[in-house]
Amino acid sequence: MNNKVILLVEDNPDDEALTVRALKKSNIANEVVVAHDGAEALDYLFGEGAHAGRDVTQMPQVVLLDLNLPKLDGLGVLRRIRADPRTRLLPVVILTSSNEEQDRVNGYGLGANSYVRKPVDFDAFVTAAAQLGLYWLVLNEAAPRKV
Amino acid sequence: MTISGSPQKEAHDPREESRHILEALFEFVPEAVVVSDEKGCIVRVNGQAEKLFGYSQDELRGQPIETLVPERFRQGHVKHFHDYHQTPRRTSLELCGRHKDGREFLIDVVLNPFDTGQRKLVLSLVRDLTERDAGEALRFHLAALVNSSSDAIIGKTLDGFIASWNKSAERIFGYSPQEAIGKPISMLLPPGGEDAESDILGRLKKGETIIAFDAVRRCKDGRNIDVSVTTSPIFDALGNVVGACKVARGITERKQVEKERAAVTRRSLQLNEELEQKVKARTTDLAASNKELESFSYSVSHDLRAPLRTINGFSHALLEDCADRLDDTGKTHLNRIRAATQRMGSLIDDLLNLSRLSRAEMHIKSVDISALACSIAGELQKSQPERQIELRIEDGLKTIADPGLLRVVLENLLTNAWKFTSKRASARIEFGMVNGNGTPAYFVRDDGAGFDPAYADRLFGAFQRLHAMTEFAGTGVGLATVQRIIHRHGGRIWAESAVDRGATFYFTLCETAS
Repeated sequence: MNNKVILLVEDNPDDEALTVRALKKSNIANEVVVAHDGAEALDYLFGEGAHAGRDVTQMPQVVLLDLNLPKLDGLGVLRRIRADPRTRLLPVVILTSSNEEQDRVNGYGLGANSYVRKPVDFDAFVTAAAQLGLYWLVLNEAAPRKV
Repeated sequence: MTISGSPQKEAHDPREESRHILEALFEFVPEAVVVSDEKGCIVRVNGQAEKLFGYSQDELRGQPIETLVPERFRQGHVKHFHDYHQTPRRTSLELCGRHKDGREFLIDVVLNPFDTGQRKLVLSLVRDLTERDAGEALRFHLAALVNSSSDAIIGKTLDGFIASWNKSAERIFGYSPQEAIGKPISMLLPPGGEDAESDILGRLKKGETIIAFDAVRRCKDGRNIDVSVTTSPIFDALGNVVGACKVARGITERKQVEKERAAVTRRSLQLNEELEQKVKARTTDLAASNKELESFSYSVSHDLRAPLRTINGFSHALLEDCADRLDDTGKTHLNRIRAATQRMGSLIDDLLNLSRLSRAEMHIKSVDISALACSIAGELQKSQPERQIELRIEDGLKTIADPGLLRVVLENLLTNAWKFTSKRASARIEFGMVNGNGTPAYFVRDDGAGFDPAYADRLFGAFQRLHAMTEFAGTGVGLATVQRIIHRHGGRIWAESAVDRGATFYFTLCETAS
C-alpha cells in the first residue's frame, strides 16, 4: 500500500465520518483529504482557490465522489476531471446513496471507474470500503504518468 | 282485299260497281252501323256492330233496336224512337249500349234518316265511347299527376315562353297560371342569369336533356330560391323538338340541411381539435407529473437513506467505541436501532422499485414462462440447497409479456412460496396453467402456511402483511409490485388459500388484448 492520499468528495459530515471510519476499519492507512463540495474538489485537484500552490503532480490514488453535492454536483466534477489532461486517467469511484439507473448510466458514461452504493448498514459499508481499498490502493496499477 | 262480285265475267256495269263500293263502305267504316226501319226493327248491321254488341247479323235481323240497350232504358227508348220518327233528322246522342253478355257501355250514336223510295230507314253510326273515355281519363290522370307533383313542372316553347304551369310551380314561384302562361321563362331568372337560359334553350333544341343542375331562381316576390332543375325537350311524333319541359325542385331546405350538416361537421372537427388539445395537455401534465414522481423517487433514494446510514453507522460506532460503558440491555437497544434502519432501508428500496416498475417502459414479446419459472426456482434452490422442496413446473408454457417485468412477478410469487413453506420439513411448489374462460391463468401453488382468506383483499396493498414479522420476514411490497405489473399487462391476479393449507396465486396476462 502506498502513501498517496484518497480524495473523498462528500458534503454530509456524518457520511464523511462514517466513510473515514470504514476505511480505517479496513486497515487503509492512506490520508483522506475531504472536499465538501464539487468546486473545492476541483480546487484541490488543480491547485486553485483554497488549495493554490498545491503540488498538482501529486494526484490522489483514487477519488471517492458523491453525486449530490452543493455548488458543482458529482457528475459535473467528473466531467471536469475527464476533460483535463492532468486528471483524465485519475481513478474515480462514485460513492453514493442512489442506485437510480440514470445515475449509474450517467456516471459510467462520463468515465467513472466504479460505481458503489453506500449501504445503510455500517458492517456492509465496511466490507465495501475494504474491497474498494484493496482494489484501488493495492491491486490496481495506475496509468503511467507522462514525464 | 277483294270485294266479291258475281263469278261470271260481265260487262262493266257502273251500277253494279257502285253497289259494291257502298257495300265495302258499309263494312269498312270504323263505326258500328245499325240500319233500322220505321217500326224500330233492325234491318241490317255491319261487322263492327256485330263485334261491338256481340250478336251476329242473323240474331239481330228483325229484332227491335232496343235489344242493343239495357233493359231499364228500353221503355224510354221506344218512346224516343217514336218521337224521332215524327221529325226524322240527322242527330247524335249518347246512349248506354248493351253487349250480348250483359256488359254495358257508353255509345255515341249518330242517326241518319233516309228514304229508299220504298220505305224510310234510319242508319245509326255507333261509336264506342269507352275508348274515348279511357283516353280522357288518362289525360285527366296525367294532369292530376302533374298538378299533384311537389316539383314545379313547367312547359315552355322553344323561344322561351311558358306554355304550362302546374300547381307546384305556382306554390314555389308565386305566380298563378294566368300570370305565368305566355310570359317569357326568363322572368324566373335572377338578374344576370339570362345567358344561362339561352344556353339551355340552345342545348334543348339539339335534343339534349339537362339533368338536375342546382340553380338560383327568382320568385314573384323577388326572393331568390335554390332549385334543382331538370330540363328535357318535348318531341313531336316526327322527332322534332317542339318545346321543353322543365322540372324544378325547391332545394332551399336541402341547402339548409347541407349548411347545417357542414356546420355540424365543422363543430365536430372543432370538438376533435379541442379534444386533441386536451389530450395533449393531459399528456403534458402526465409527463410533468411523471417527471415529478421521478425526481421525488430520486431524492427519496438519495436523501432518505442518508440519515438511516447515520443512525446505523453511529449506533455501530457506539457499540464499538463505548462498549465498556454499555450493559447488555443498552447493546440490545442499539442493535434494535440498527435492525430498524436496515429494515427501513429495504422498505425504501422496495418502494422505489415499485415506483420504478410502474413507470418502466414495457417491451412486450413472446416469453417462455416455463423456462423463466425454472430459472428462478433454480436460483432459490441454489440459495438454500438444504431445503427439501419438490418443484413441479409445467413445461412449454409460452405467453406474451414484458420479460423483465414478468420475471419480477414470478420471482416474487416463487420467493413467497419458498418463504411461506420454510416452516415445513419438506414442501411442494408448483407452477402451471389453467384455462379459465378461455384466458390462460398461470398459477404458483405451495403447501405452506397459507393465509386467512378473510384478509385476501389486503394481500395486494403496499405494506400489507398477513403474518407477524417474527414468523416471516418481508416488507409487504412484493405483492403490490406483482399486482401493479399484472395490471400493466391488462391482466388480473387473485389468490386462494386457507390457514396451513398452502396458497395458490393465479394471474392472467393481456386479458383485454386476447
